[in-house]
Order: sequence, then C-alpha cells, then structure tokens
Amino acid sequence: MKFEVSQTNHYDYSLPVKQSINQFKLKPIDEGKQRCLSYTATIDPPSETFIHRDYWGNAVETFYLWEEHDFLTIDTNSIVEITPLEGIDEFTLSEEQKMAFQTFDFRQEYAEFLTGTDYTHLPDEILHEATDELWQNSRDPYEFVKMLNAYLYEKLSYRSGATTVKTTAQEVFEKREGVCQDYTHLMLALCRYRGIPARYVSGYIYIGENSALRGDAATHAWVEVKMPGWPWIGIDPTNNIIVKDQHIKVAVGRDYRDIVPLKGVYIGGDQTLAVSVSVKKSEES
Amino acid sequence: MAKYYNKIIEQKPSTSGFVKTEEEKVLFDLYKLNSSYDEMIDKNKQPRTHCYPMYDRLLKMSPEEMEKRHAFAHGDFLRQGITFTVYNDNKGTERTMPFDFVPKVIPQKEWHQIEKGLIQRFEALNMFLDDVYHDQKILKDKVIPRDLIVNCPHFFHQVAHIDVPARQHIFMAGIDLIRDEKGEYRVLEDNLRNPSGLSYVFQNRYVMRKVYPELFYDYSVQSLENQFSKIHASMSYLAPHQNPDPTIVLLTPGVFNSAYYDHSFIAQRSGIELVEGRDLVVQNRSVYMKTSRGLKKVDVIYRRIDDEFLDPLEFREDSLLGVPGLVDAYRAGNVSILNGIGNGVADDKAVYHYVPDMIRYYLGEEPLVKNVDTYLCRDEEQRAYVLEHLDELVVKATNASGGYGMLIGPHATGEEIEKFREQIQINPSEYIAQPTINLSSLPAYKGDRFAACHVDLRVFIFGGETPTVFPGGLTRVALKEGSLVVNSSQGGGAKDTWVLQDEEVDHQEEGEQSHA
Amino acid sequence: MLSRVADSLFWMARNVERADNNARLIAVKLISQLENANHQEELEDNWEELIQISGYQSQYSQQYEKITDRNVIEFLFFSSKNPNSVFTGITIARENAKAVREIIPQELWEMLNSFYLEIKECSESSWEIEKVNDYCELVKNRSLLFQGIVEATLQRGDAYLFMEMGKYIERAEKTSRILDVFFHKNLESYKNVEIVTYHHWWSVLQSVSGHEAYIKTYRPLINDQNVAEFLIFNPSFPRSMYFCIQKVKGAFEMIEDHHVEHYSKSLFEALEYLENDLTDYTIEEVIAHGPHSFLQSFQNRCNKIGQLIAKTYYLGEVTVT
Repeated sequence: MKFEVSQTNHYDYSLPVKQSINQFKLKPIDEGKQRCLSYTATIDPPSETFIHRDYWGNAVETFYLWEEHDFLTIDTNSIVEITPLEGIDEFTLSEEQKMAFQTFDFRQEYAEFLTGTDYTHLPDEILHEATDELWQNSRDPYEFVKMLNAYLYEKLSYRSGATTVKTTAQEVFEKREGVCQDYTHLMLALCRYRGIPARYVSGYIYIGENSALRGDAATHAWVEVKMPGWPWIGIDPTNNIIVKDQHIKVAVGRDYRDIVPLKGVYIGGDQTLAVSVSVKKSEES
Repeated sequence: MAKYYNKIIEQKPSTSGFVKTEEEKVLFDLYKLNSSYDEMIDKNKQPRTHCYPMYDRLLKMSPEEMEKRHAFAHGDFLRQGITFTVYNDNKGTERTMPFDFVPKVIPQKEWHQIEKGLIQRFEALNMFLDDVYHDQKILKDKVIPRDLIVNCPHFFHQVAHIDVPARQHIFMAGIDLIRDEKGEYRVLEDNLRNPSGLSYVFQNRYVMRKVYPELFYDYSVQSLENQFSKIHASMSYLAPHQNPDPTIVLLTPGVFNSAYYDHSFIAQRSGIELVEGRDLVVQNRSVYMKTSRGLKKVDVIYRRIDDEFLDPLEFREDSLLGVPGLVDAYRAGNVSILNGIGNGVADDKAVYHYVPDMIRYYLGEEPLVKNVDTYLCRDEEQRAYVLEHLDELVVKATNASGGYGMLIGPHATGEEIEKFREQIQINPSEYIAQPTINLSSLPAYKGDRFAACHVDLRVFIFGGETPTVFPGGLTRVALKEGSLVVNSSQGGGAKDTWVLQDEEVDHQEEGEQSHA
Repeated sequence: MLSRVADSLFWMARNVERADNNARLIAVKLISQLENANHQEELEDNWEELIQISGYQSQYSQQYEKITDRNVIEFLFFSSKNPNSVFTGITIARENAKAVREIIPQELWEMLNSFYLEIKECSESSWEIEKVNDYCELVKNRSLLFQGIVEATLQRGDAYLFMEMGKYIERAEKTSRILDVFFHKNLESYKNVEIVTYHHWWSVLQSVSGHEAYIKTYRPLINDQNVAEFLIFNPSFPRSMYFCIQKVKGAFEMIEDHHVEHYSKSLFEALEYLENDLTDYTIEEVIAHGPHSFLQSFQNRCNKIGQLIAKTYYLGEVTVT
C-alpha cells in the first residue's frame, strides 16, 4: 500500500519571539517493510535544517530562527510504501524460541527495550493484576501479547483530552482512559515486565473508509514487540489490531520521550499550536 | 639511597630521631597505630626513610608556634574567600576546607608507578567512552554486560555517534586512590565528569609555602607553577578543527555553586573567560558569548555544569543553567565540550568493577594499579554474599557521591544496616559493596599532639597531546579520629601533597630549594 | 568583556559607593545629634530625614513602630531587610566581586571580602550604639581603600570604565537626593533660625566631605543657595553633580572610543541632555523655579541613564526559555 502523508504544524505567538531553536522528528522511517519514497520539510519563516540520526535510528532535524517572528509553520510531505509482514496473525513459537526469551544474550541484545522508564514504571501490584491471568492462559509470549492487546482495548476507554503528554502508565491504569500514547505506554510496561522486548512507535494511521479505527486526524502511536526469529511486530492496542499496512512509522524509541515529534526553546511570548494531518492512498499504485 | 636522606645525615650527624626527647613525648607519644598502614611512622614507631627530615622538623616546632601558625593559615583561607558552600535545609553556608599542615610526601619512585598506572587507566577509560558511544564493541564482545551500560542513567544516547576532537572524551579526570593495609595503592573511584578540588591543591601549597616554609628546606618538591600552561595547552589541543588559537571559556553554574571558587580560580589562572549559561547563545550551530561589544564565537567550553543541565533542548527542559542548542553545536563539531557529555557511564560505581577488564580489552595489559574488590548487588550470588556480610562491608549507592548514600558496615548501627538491606533488596542494581579497607593514615595536628588520621588522594590527569598526571593532588584527610569519611562535606580536610623531584634534576634545583 | 561581567563591575562599584554615602550620612547625623542634644524636637526630624534619603520609608514603617536611634541605625546600617542599608550594599558588592574575582585584582577581592566579614561580624554580634561612629568610619575608610586599590592596580580598560560609571552615577544621584531632602525641610519654625540653618547646611557639606573645599570657595558663609550651587555646579569638587556626570560621560566616551554608534546613541543623548542642564542653568534659576523639581528631574534622568547603560551593554539581561 502506498500513501501520501502531509502534516502542518502551525505556531502562533502572543508576542514576537526570537532566538528560537527547534527540533523535529517527522520523517517516515525508510527501513524493512516500509519505504519512504520521498520526503520534504518546509519551514516558514524560511530556515535551513540540519539533519542527524539519533541513537534509535530516527532522523532528527534542527533549525534556528534568530530574528523576531510572530508565527512558525513546519510543513512535511512524504510518500511511503508499505508491504505487510506475512504470517503474523497466527503463529506459534517453538520451544526453542520460547526459551530464547530468558537467555542472557537475548536479554542483553534488547536491554533498552526491557527496562522501565519514567513513563512506563508500574508498581508490582498492577503488574500482577494486569498480567498474571493472561500469562497463565497463554501458550506462548506472542499469544500473551495478543491477549494483552484485547485486554487493554477492553479495559481502557479512548477519550481525547483525558490525559496529557506527561501522563504515565500508572496514571493510565488507574484512570482507565486515555489516548494512543497512553495505551502504548501501558502496553510497553506490561510486555517488558514479562520479558518481551517492546518499543514505542510514533507515526500515522490510515483510517480511510473504515471509520471504526481510532486515532484522530493527527499522529498515532503503537507498540512493537520482538519475538525471537521475527522482525519487530507492530501491535496497536488502541485499535486491538496487529499492524499490517495501514500504519506509517515515523520514529521508534523506549517511550514518548525518545520520539517527541517537535520541540523548541525560544525567547518571547506564549505559543498556540495547530496541527493538521492528512493520510491519503496514493493514486499511482 | 635518596639524596634528601643523605643531606640530613650530613647536616645533623648527631641529631637522632631514635632517641626520644621531651617534645617527642608530647607530640607523638599518644600517636596510635592501628591495623592500617601509616605513611609516616612504621610498625616499629620509627619514621619511614623519606619522612625522616619532616619528622625531625615537626619535633622542633613548639606547640605555641604550631597553634599560632595554624590560626594564621585558617585566617588566610577565610580572608581569600577560599571556601565551598555546604547546603543544609536549602540554606548555603560558606565554609573553608579545614587544612592540616603535615603534608603527604610521595617519593619519586612510588610516584612513577602511580603515574604509569593512572595513565593506563585514563587511556582505557577514554577508549571505553569512545567505544560505547560508537560501535559498542566491548559490549558486543560481552566483556561488560550490555544492559549495565545502555540502561545506566549516565549513558546519554543524545551524544551517540558524535566524534569529539582527537576522540578524547576526558579532558580532566580525578582518580581517587587509597592505600590498603599493606600500603599498596588502589583506585577507589574514577571521577570523569566534573572532578573538583584542583584549586585547593594550589592553595594548600601556597599556604604551606607562606606559613611553614622551613618544612620545604629538606625536600625538593615538584613545582605546580607551570601546570596551568599545560592545562591551557591541553584545552587548546582539544579545540574543534584544530584551531590553533581557540577562544576557551569555563562554564560555571554561578557564584552560588559549592565549587565556585574552584571555577573562578581555574579560569583566572588559565587565562580563560568564566561564563554562565546566560552569557552564551547558540546560533546556527555555533556558540557565542554575549559581550559588551556584541557576540563573540566560542570554541572550547570547559564546563562545570552537569550533563542533565547543559541544554534544555536535549536534556532537562527546566534547566536555567544551560544553553539551548549546545548539544547541536557539539554534534556539528563547532564547539568542544570538556569533559565530554555522557562520561558518567564510565565512572559509574558498578561500571568501576569492569575497569580492569577494559584495560585488558583495549590495551592488552594488566592493570598497574588495582581496584578495590567490588561486589555488584545486581548479581544474585554476589548480592547474597553482600546481604550476609553487611556488617563488614562498605555499601555504596551507584548514583550518589560525596560520601552520601553510603553504609560503613563496621561503624553502622543495626537500624542503618536494616535500612540498607531493604533498599538493596528493592533496587539491587543501584548498589555495590566493597570490603572495609582501613585507609592509610598520616599524622594530623590536634592542638596538643599528632593523631593518625585516615587519608586518600585525588590525582588529576589531563588529556591533550599526551596524557599527563598533575604532580601532586588533593590529599583528603578524615580529621575525626578513626573516621573513614574524607569528604569535605562530611568533616574532611585537606593536606598538601608533595611529589619529590627526580634525583637527576635534584642537583640542578638545589640552589633554588634553599630559599623556597 | 562579557556583558554580565560589565554588569557586575558596574554594580560592585555602585554598591560600595552607596554604602559609603549612607555611612557618611549616618555619621553626620550622629554628630549633629550630639551637638544639638538640647533640641529635642530636632531628634526625630533628623532621623526621619535620613530615612527619606534612603528612599525606603515604607520598609521602615513595616519593620519598626517608632523612630528611635537604635531602630534607625539598625535599619540604615545593619538591616538585611533594607535593600539600601550599608550592610546590604556591602553584601551585594561582595557578591558582585565574587562573580568577577578572576577579572579584578586579587587585593581588591580580598579587601572587599574582609570588609564584608568585618561588617557581618558587627551586625551579628550585638552592635553598640556608642560605636556607630566607628562603624561609619570603617566604611568610609574601606571605601577609600577600595577606590585606592582600583586606582593603583586596575588596568585602565573596560573593567575600570564600567566601575567608573557605576560609582559616579550613584554619587551624582545621592548628592542630589541629599540636597533635595535638606531643601525640603522647613526651618522657619525653629526659635533660633540662624543657628539651625547654619548647622543644617553645614551638615550637608560634612556628609559629602565638602566643608573644607566649600570654605575655600565661599568663605565660611553658609546658606542654602551657596551650598546648593557648590554641590550642583562646582566643576572641580569630586562629589558635585556636575563633576559626577562629567565622569560618567567621560567613561562612556572612552568605552565607545569617542564614536557614537547606533546602539549607543540614546545613551549618548541622555548624557548630553543632562550635562546641558547643568551648564545652562544658574543657581538663581534653580532656586526661583523651586529646587525640588530640578533635583527630582535630575534623579529621574540618572535612573534613566542607569537603564540605558544596561540596555546599551546588555547588562542584566537574562535569557528566558
């Protein structure tokens, strides 16, 4: 499936601002089953951007606006092609694969994605309450992940505005509501507790005609888990689905902090941000 | 035999330290030796060879004279404002570091061993830092467990893949040494972030020269005076684009920081500008300082601000001490930041355990200066041992410094031990344990007599074209008798540290020392 | 030079000068208190004047109920709650010096540091009212020492010039303020007007150490007009307003190397304007129009110049992120 994605971030300032430095991670990933065929970023007032790759492999762009300005717009446009990963709806892990989870080498290789973070830290009681039954009733970790996906989908209510970008997994579990970022953090915490490497993915979701899918017109977030012998597999707890070819990946990391799409520091007045996103099926496919 | 010894014998053939005089009774009779190694007096209650002239001089000073000079030295520190700030209940109090005038004297042979060992360690630690922020070969080769490094709170993925000038991440290291019961030097701790205390090394020497000049008469001590030109050269060498005449600044959190004196002293003596975060701006990936005549480009920043506070764009957003965009300028290679960002991953208390392995891995050599045995509580077996022997061990939290978050088993109450037991069980990976080592001791002045007080030694090593070891260091002394805590925030003081000249140069410098 | 360093130097010099002036005023008032011990009615007035000169009447009334010798002296000399007290001035000057200790001569820092420690010890131990004069002398002496060290050891460059600006803008403003308060006081109600008037203006001159210089110019004829002329217009007395403004302007011209650039234009103009006021007017005109409005406007312009110095050299600008 091929998509045309465009995103506009527009800041208005209450007073003119200056000496502004900004960083964004908006370029879709070009790796594995996802190909980024084209990508442009346009900044107004015009500014040059400097690109580097972060530790997680994401493209990071930095730009500077020294002179006074009273608005800022960042426009990105890209074309992305995705081939779905075969055979991920149903598969069973072999005994050897199951054993691999506990091996020293496996745990070392994915150490970053097995650890707790400020966002994902949960007290023991919650970890047990949420996973004990599912873990006992699943025949392997992959089945556990799928059951967990369904469990979170049932357990939490999707409500935009219920939480903020700073909300932690524990708060989500206690409030039982949130948005994609919150579903993701909670799922990361529970997978990692059971020794399943899991990472945070930010990106877009193609909703198309299927209005049943959640994820507003803006950006989306979901989980990827690592099964021995498999590439990273996307799991979307907000929609209780396994990711195929409707999720466009932009950045990966341990939690939200690693993938913050846009941030900046400046001198001047307060800001208001308006974001608009459009994901369309590409005509030419 | 060393020359200083011969000289004494020649000058005072009839003086004998082996016969007890009245004064000696007063000053040294109560001097108690315990199981630890005393650096001045041996087991037979005789001064060690290189300490003999010092011992002799000490006996000649009258208690009144000592008292007078002691007060003068203290007043000198206060008047010059050589203080550090202690924070209690959010209220800062300026204090001088207590100073004890009996110096630690290091014979040159002993010093050469230390130098070699510390340069070896310095190089391995530097290679380790470059490796973990690039290819992580040492982790791939499983010499060090990967999770210990990548999940270390001081591992900053923000600076991964950044090529720092000359691949040197460490500009200044402060390595803390102790001597075990046999007198063998061991590394207690590496400080690769912002080791402080260099200014005290100089001030201790100035005060000694001023207040106790005659103690220098029998020794030729390596001078500290030319060290700042070396330090400046080392900073320049680490400038970006091999700029031969870089603008260098020292970035301080400001006048309320506890080590502010250190910052201002180093800036002044190395002839570099002392700046705060608010004096700097980053524009199009270059750093500038705000002067009364506009912006001026900065090439090298010797920073004394912790990593987390350096750049609100990349680290703590609430930091008002730092400079937004600094990491981007660093990444672009337009500014050098000394010490490098993320060095904390190499001086972590658990990573310390693996430094000997780093030396073997990167240099193919055996460590010349040993570690203190360390038990990692993250390891199940080692943890079990630690929990069983809490009353014998020293337990340290891996993320604390300055002697805080530490349990000294043999001196702790049952309650304290139980508190640590609980903490270790909750967060095992945050603790390490070491056998209680009786630090070596030196005489310290106690008003009417000398007492054996425990000491350690912080040695400073500088990078640059070739790593150099600063000749001397900060000898810290636990002035409370029997105490093993030497940190200044916990009642520790300082002593001057003398590294003796090579014998060859000894002769040439002879004329000078007589009026030193 | 770093803008922040320029700022610290400016304020270090300014605060030493401020402490000095305050100490002088207290000393003079004390002496006149002793000499006029019988004039009970004068006592309170005297102290009230001092509080007025300090410009912090409301802080005083918050802190104290009554005007007594001890309260006033504590407030003006030792109180850390009074932003204008001698002790506060020295504390700030010492903080400023600490922030630039690598720039200034070592002796200067050590002197300010010991000075601070001395005064701190006085303020912590129960100070004695009988010794206030000694404390004031100490401050005056230390201020002179401070200036002497600066003159003798500091390189004549930007550091020196920023300190000059700080010192003289403070002094100009303080001289004006002293005059203003003394003019404000109505002496007509006193029985022996002549003697009171004489004492009154004599103490003004004493407070600025100007009595000797004054007598050389005007002979011992002491009246408001002559004293005011001396303290406003005298071109060679180093505490006259005119002299001080000349110094500020001179320092500015040196910093700018005698050119005026676009960024320094408004500061230059403000200094010119103030200087013209002092050359164009005569004392007769000042008295005729009412000295209060003249002095008030002078003080406002001094404040303005202080702000313009900060703006021109980015002093005190803090980045907000």
